[in-house]
Parts: sequence; C-alpha cells; structure tokens
Amino acid sequence: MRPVPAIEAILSTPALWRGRQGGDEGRRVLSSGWPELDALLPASGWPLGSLIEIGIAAPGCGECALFFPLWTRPPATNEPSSRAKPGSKARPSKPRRQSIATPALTQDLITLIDPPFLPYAPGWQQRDISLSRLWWISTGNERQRLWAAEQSLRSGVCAAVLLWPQQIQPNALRRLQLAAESSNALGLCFRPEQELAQPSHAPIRLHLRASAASWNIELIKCRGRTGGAKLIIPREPPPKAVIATPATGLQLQWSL
Amino acid sequence: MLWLALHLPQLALDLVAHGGSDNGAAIAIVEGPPQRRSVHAVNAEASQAGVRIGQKLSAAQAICPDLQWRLRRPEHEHEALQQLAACLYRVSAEVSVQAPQSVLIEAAASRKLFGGGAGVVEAVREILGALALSAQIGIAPTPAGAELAARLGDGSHALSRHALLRLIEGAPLALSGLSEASCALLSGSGLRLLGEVTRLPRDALARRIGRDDMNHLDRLVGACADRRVLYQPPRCFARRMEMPAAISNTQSLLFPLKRMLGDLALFLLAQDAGIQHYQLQFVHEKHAPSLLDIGLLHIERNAEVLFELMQERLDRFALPAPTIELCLRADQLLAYAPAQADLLSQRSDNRDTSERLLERLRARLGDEAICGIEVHAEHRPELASRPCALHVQAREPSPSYPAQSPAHDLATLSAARPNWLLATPRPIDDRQLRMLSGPERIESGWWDGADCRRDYYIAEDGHGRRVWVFHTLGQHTTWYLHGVFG
Repeated sequence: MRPVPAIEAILSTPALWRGRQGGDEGRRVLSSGWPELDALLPASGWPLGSLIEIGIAAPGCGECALFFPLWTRPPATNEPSSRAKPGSKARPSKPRRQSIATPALTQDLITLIDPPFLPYAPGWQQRDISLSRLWWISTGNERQRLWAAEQSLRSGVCAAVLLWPQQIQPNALRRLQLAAESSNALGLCFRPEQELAQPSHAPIRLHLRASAASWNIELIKCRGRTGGAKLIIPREPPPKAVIATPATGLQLQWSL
Repeated sequence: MLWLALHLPQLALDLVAHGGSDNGAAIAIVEGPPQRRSVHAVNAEASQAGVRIGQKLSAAQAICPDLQWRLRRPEHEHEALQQLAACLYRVSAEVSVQAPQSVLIEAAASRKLFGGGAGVVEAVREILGALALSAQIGIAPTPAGAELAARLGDGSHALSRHALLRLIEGAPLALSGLSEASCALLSGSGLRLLGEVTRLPRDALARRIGRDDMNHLDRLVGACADRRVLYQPPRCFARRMEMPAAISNTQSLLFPLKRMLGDLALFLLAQDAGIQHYQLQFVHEKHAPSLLDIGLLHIERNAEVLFELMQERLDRFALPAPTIELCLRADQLLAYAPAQADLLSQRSDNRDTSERLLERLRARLGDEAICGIEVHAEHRPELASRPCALHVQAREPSPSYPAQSPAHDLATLSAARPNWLLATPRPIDDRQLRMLSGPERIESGWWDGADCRRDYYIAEDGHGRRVWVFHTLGQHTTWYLHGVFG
C-alpha cells in the first residue's frame, strides 16, 4: 500500500494554487485609506504594481475620490488645523490621516491620461494633493493613450496612472498589467460599467456605484480572495458653502 | 616618449562604406580633374579584379566593367580624421593629426592608465572599431619613426631605439616618407631599402637629396627635434554621411542615424560634455535641404537615449524628397553632470527618472501634450486653474506651500471646489438635481468683458455624482453643470 502523503506536503507543492492565497507575496501593499475596504482586500490594502479596473456609471462618480487618501501628503508636512477646510471637522471617525502612504511614495507622479473633464487645480489642492505631482497628458487616439499609459507605468516614477478608455482589448489590459507589475505603480483603469461583463486580466476589478450618502463597491474579482463581496463606504457629508467676511471673521453657512 | 601612429590608407573607402552595405561590389575612389581621373583607393573586390591605385579611371573601367567609383572628398576625410583625433583625445593628451592619412598619439604617458602598452593599443582599436575605420598601427620612440612603422604594416612595433634602427634598416624606400624626387633619385641609383640610404656618406647624400629630406632622416632616428602641431578639441560636432542610394522613408535612415549618434556620444564622452539641442539636415537631390531640429529637456550624452528620442521625432517627420546625404550638427556643447546615485537609496539604477519619461512622452505626443496644472488667483472658476509647463526638477513640493501665496489662500478660504471642471458649462435639467448645499455667489470680471454673476450649488445628479452647478443671476430656470466632485 502506498503511503498517504501528509496534507502539508500536498499543500506545499508550488503547482497547487489555493483560491484564497494571494499570488502577490512580497509585493508592497498600500492601505487604501478606507478601513472597510482594507478589511475586504486580502493584503489589507491595494497591492502595488497592479492594474485595478473600476466600472463606473459615468465619469466623475467618485472614482478618483476613492483613491485620494493614497495621494494626500503625509501628516508631517501638513499645515496645522487652523485652515478652514469645509467639512473636515465633521469626520471624526475617518482614519485617513493614520493610514496614508509612505512619504516616499507621495513624491511620485500621478498621470491623468485623457481625463473626461479638465483637472481643476483648486479642487485637487483642497484635497491636499500637491499639484506638482499631477501630469496631465492629452493624446490623440486610443493607441497613443495606451502607449502613454504603458510608458508611465513602466517608468517607475508614477504612483498612479489613471486611464479612462472607452473600448479596450483584453490584450491591451494584459500589457498594462505587465507594465504595472514591472514597477510599483497602480494602474487605474476606469471603464463603463457594462464593460465589466467581459473577462479581463486585471487582478482587481471593482464596480463602483455612487449614491447620496455612500459608495457601493462590489469586488468582482480580486487576486487572493473570491469575488462577489459587497461593501458600502459612507461618503463625507456634502460640504457647506462657507463665506468668510474678512472684516468680522464671521462665517455664515447656508444649507438647503 | 613612445609614439603610436595610425595610418589610414583606406580612409576614403571606409567613409563611403559607412553609409550602407556595399555587398561585394567593386568600389574605387578616384581623384583628379574630370578629364584625367585616377584611382586613389580600391577595395578588396576591385583589387582582385585588377584595379590598381594610380590607374586611370578609364583603364580601371576597362579592366573591371562593374566598377563603382566615387569621387574623393578630401574635406570628408579631413572631418573623419578630426573626429578620430577627438576620440583619441580620450586615450592621450597629445594627439596630432598628420594629413592626409595619419594620426599620431603619445602613448607612454597613458600606459599606466590603461594597464600597459597593450591596453593603450586595445583602447585605440576599440575606438577604430566604433568609428568603423581600418588603420595600421605602428609604435616607435619618435613620431616620424612611428609613422614609418604604421606605413610598413599593422602591428609594426619598435619599442626601443635599437628596434627602431632595425626597422628603418629594412624599410622599403617607397614607404620611407622621403619626397618623390629623392625616392626616384635614390632608387635610380639602385637603392631599395632605407637602411642602404642611411649608410651612405652624409655630406654626399645631403648634396643630392636636399635639406628637408635630410631632416626627415634625422627625425626618423630622433637625431633632430620633431615638433608636431597638437590637436585641440573643437567646441562643436558636425558629421556628414552620404547614402549609398537615395532613401525616401525615414525607417531606412535609422541605421545610419544610429551610427552618427553613436559617434556623437563618443565625441561627447571624450569632451566630457553633453548637448541639449542638435540639428539633422537631410540633403535631397532636387529639393532644398530639409532641417529637423531636436531639442532636449535635459543635457544628455547617452547614445541610446538620444537615439530613442530622435526615433520618436523622426516618426512624425515627413521627408519632402528622397535623401542622399545626412548631416548632424551639435553646436553648443554644455557641461554634463551625470545623475548621481544615492548610496543608501533603494531605488535601482535601471529605473527611469521623471525627466526621461517626460522626454519620451513629449517626443512622441508633442511638446504641448503633457502639462501640469496650477492655481491662478482669480475668482471666476474657469480661470482659477490653468495648464502650466512642467518643472521636473522641482521634485520637492515648493517650500511656499501652503504658506502665504495668494492663490492658495483663495483656494482654502472659499468653499469646496470640484476636482474636475467642464471645459464649457453644459445646460442641465434641474429636475435631475437634488441640491445639497449652496449657494455660493461668484461675481467678477465686469472689467474684461467676461462678466460672470453666478450662484453655485453643490448637487447630486441622476448618476449619484456630486456636481457643481450654477445659474446666472436673474435666470433661475437655466442650470449649468460646471464641475464634478469625484
């Protein structure tokens, strides 16, 4: 009778792939800044050097806001809290200041490749993202767009490369994924939500839906765990319109 | 002192072969007026066919009907020698160009640096290989002796005075470097070797061959001073290459261009300099030459980087007519400071810098395709943000942030701003909107004609997006979408 191998011996075979086991050991992981989302991701954060595909109903429904905590400057260089920042005091439970990126990474570039709208400098600055990190790339066509994305991902100087393709071939996604793997960049590919029905090589695929009070995230696919998990992240309350009158320092607030 | 001489009898042929493959064709270089062209140099194929140096062109064509001939261009040979000298300047500080076919360098002082005389010769051969020139190398204690050794054949070395005397002894008269008249006279007297000449009584010989040739004989053995004009590196790079045939597509130009940029990189390395701007000139047969200016963001001297960027520019460049000649000029040499690596840094060296990335993106997409954004001190939202040129050196956030810059105060004091703005406000049906906060009145610009009197609200639209909408004062029914938060 042949001896029965121990279960550990079988499990340690490299050929055996276990569904919940991450394929990305050794990769740096960056906390997403949202504790609910970190709890869901297998390495409690975004694995660096991967392509993340996000399905959205329309551009601008919070797909960048989801990643803002990654790009804000580290607390050490932050200005004291004397700045009147609307809405900031109303977020006592938000741990984004504690779990943001390492200082080295916040120096890296964020490239916006053919964004659907014009990036608006005061808005990015209000979210504590240094404008010197933003590169706005306008290309002519889909081919140039993918080329620019691949170059940026491969260069190793970008923290994130944001891309809004209308139509993208699976092999192009594969190329982008390989390019992202070769450096520590996050490739963010924002696609129309109906495109999520197609299979893709991206290791993480999300479906993001926005509502007034929250973001509903569905983790369609994630390397290292089974997909299908759903998550609701509460949004920050809408900012109040604040009008400062320099003479008295009085702040008046209106709210509908 | 130990002199190393490079003799380039095939220089004119090498320059023609640069442009492309001559794949087995018999080639001859001819010189002289159109009526009496004579062969100056031949390649191996032509030589096999019986073409000899000094033959009339008509005779050579009769012997070898397939003979391809080119007119000798002494100015190109001069350029090539200057370029060789520039590269040899890396090996030795004393380089002297001996027109028309030789270059001399002082090798003794460089022996230690290159690990012995063999190392020096190896470095010289490497340079010759990189420039695709074939040369005979000779070494001797005197400059004239080294030249003689080089003419005798590749690898003739006379490292001591005795060896030099032996070398002179056996040198044929035709290669001695004496004037033609003296050579004719001496060979007419039955002398064949230089050794036989030097054994003749000095005063009798001096009467017959003249003072210049006597001095030459003295310089050969080092009995009289031999001063050479030393090479001074030029402060610009110019290179020209003839195409073997007219070339109409830019892809086929890449190979010769790669070689020219390689030459440029070698030159820059020898000068310890870099360039930020250079010019390519395409010469056409029946068309004015076309120019391609290539500017770089940073001072560069790496051949691969230069080639990669040039390739992207060339892809977007349309040749007006087939090209027969290529010229590359770099006029301004700038001090080059190589990027310094950090000893303790974990970044590996093969990573790109953001400068390189920007350079590459610009080369392919155009200079305007990549920009940054900056805040402008202006109340009208569409003017408060504008594109700006990228300053890649400013890796650190500007020290003034978030201090007293007026633009910043404006951004923080006023209400929340969206991170996306529509290029032009778009009318939106207010039944889709659910107002979340507002209004914020922005009233400005009456002085420059772009008057704006608007009430801005933050609202939620049908997709669940937070949007920035406004209506103009007095027109409460028409709403415009101006920005998106998200």
